Amino acid sequence: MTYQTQRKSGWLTVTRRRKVQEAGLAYLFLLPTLIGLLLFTMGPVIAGFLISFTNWNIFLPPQWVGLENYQTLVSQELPHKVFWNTLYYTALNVPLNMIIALGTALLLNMRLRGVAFYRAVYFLPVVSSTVAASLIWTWLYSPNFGPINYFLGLVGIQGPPWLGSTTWAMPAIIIMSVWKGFGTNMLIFLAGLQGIPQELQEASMIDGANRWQRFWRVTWPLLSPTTFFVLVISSIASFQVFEQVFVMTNGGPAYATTVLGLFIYLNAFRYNNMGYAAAVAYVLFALILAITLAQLKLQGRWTHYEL
Amino acid sequence: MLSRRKFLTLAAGSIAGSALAACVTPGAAPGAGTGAATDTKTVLYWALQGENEGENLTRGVIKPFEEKNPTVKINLQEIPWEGYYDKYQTLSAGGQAPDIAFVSAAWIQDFAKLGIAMNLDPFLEKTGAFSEKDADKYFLKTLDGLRYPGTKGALYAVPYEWVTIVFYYNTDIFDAAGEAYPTNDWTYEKIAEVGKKLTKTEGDKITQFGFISGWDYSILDSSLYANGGSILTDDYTKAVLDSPENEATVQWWVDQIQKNKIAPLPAEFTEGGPEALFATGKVAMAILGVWGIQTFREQAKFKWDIVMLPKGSVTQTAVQWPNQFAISSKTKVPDEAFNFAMFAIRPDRPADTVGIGKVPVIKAMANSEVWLEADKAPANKKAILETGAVAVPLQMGFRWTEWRNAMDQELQLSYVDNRPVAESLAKANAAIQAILDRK
Repeated sequence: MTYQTQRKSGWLTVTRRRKVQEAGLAYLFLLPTLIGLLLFTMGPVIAGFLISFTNWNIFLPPQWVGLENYQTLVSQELPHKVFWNTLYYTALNVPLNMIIALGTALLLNMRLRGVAFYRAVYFLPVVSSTVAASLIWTWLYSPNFGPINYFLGLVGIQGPPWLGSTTWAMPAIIIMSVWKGFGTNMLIFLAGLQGIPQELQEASMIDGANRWQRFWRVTWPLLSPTTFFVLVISSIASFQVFEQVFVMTNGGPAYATTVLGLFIYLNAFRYNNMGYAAAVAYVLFALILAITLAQLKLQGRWTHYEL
Repeated sequence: MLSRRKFLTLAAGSIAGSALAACVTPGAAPGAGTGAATDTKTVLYWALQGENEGENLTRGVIKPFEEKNPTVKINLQEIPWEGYYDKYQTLSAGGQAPDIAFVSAAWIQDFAKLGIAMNLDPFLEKTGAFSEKDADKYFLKTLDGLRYPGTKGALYAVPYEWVTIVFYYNTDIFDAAGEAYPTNDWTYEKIAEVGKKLTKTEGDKITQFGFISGWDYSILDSSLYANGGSILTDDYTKAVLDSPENEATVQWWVDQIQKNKIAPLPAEFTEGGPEALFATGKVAMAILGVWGIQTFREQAKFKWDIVMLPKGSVTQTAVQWPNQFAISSKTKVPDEAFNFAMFAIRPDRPADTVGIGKVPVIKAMANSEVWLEADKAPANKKAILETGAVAVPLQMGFRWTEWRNAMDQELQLSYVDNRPVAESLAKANAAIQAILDRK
């Protein structure tokens, strides 16, 4: 054994020991969060899965019913409607939210006077309370006395009854949700835009690219990782929509706005159908997981990390 | 010095206390050995829906009871209405149910069927409380909303006050139009007729509504019974909503929005519900619960009064339901709990322990000058007592919260989307039956 290798192995051992020590210390610091996560997140997640196979009204001990809750879910009409309502909400809310967020971010990325003020203004709905905002929107949507239909009337449009109509209630909720939520995505897009190197824009300008070409060939591809992140996060949040529906329509009229989140809440905490609610919650989880996985899989086709 | 075990119990108690925030842990408290007083006394945990009535209740109910029963100590826990059910549910599931607690009439069937509330019939037999000879003392009819099964079973709670539905009108609007005020002799047709005259439009916008329509139990249900209909059979096991009588009744309510156009779409109700709408002064007449009195006293900038609900095609009636105390089936002190409940509704209970508009279950108190409040609106407050004499219990069967929502959602299609009423009633009926029948 040469001096060289001896020294090397000795050095290695020291590092390994130090590494183990450091890792141990890191885990020690992580412990409080880890315990919290295991106890208060993983615990209920596992319990929820088991509860979904039971008939449990909270007051009395649960009874094992096997797949009955899942069978009810498949065979009944209402859960299907609730499922489609949630998809409808997501299919409109996510693209609308992203388009408006991106548009505003592009505008706010320009060097204009008072841009900081506008950033704050567009972000304001995000920091306001959803419940308070929902109450105000309920009033805005009021068919006879509300300002929205008043202004529509001024331009000769007879406004719909909004929350009172099976056709318009969901679009009304979506409009409110987009207003409430686009600020977050706007901020993420803004960060993404500012991460695009200025040299690339300048180079393309010198090459004679016009405004649209610069957006489509440079900005959009380089923004794609941000867009992907926003898409995944918004989709997940949309599937879990609850507060605005709970406050503004409570799922009505005629189930038109009953989404999965509300359906789970009502069954679990109002109707005492804990087992059934847990089953619906797991279907929602599977749905979100499937869509996120699909998005991850398709990501490679359109996401660019460099040009 | 504290023993190790006692220290641990205390520590566990305080940790649980902080972790559960405002959550009470009644069962744990005596074990924690909080003092000499609890060792010799029986502690009775009393949970009540409310926020700041504690002082009144302590003075009017708790103190006098403790003076009369020196061995019993009452521990009052006030819980705001929002979240009351969740907390009660959690406490019960955790085996920590308060010995005696406010429960909504809507939960009685469930709590009785699931064995959460105690059957009080043995106490009634033992003490003779609420027997026929008490008919002059209490509004005994209110008990029928607290029985299981149906309205003829055993008693599961002790009522302390009751509410019903009355007919409100905006006196200023009637004066301005020169219309005669409503009376106890009105019919539903008369509402449609006068409501038409009191509805004002500007262009295609309605600026003043004659009436308020809806599917909510407080608005719709009284008329179902007045026209000879019903939602459930007397034993609460079968849904009978899809009857021709009910079809005619619901059609009338739909027509007031769609055809007669004197009532707004319920989408006009914002967060304050129909009460807030009437309080704006833009509505001439409304059928609403007596809790509206408090809202209108606070908010209405116009004169208003009440009469009984109009006569239906069969009878004149309104739905009625009580607020009450249920005794936990798990309590270790059932006798004390029952005595306390009866003490809380003793005839000389101070009048300020009753909510505005709500009627104390004690007849003498309800008929007193203090309750009738001659100097305050509504001038005709006795209409509430007249309604009580003809009222029927609101049918709140097993899983009421769930099937009522199902029923409302089905009916809404007729109110907002013109689906034939018969079809909505048939669908609602099937939905109710399915929920009642489920295991």
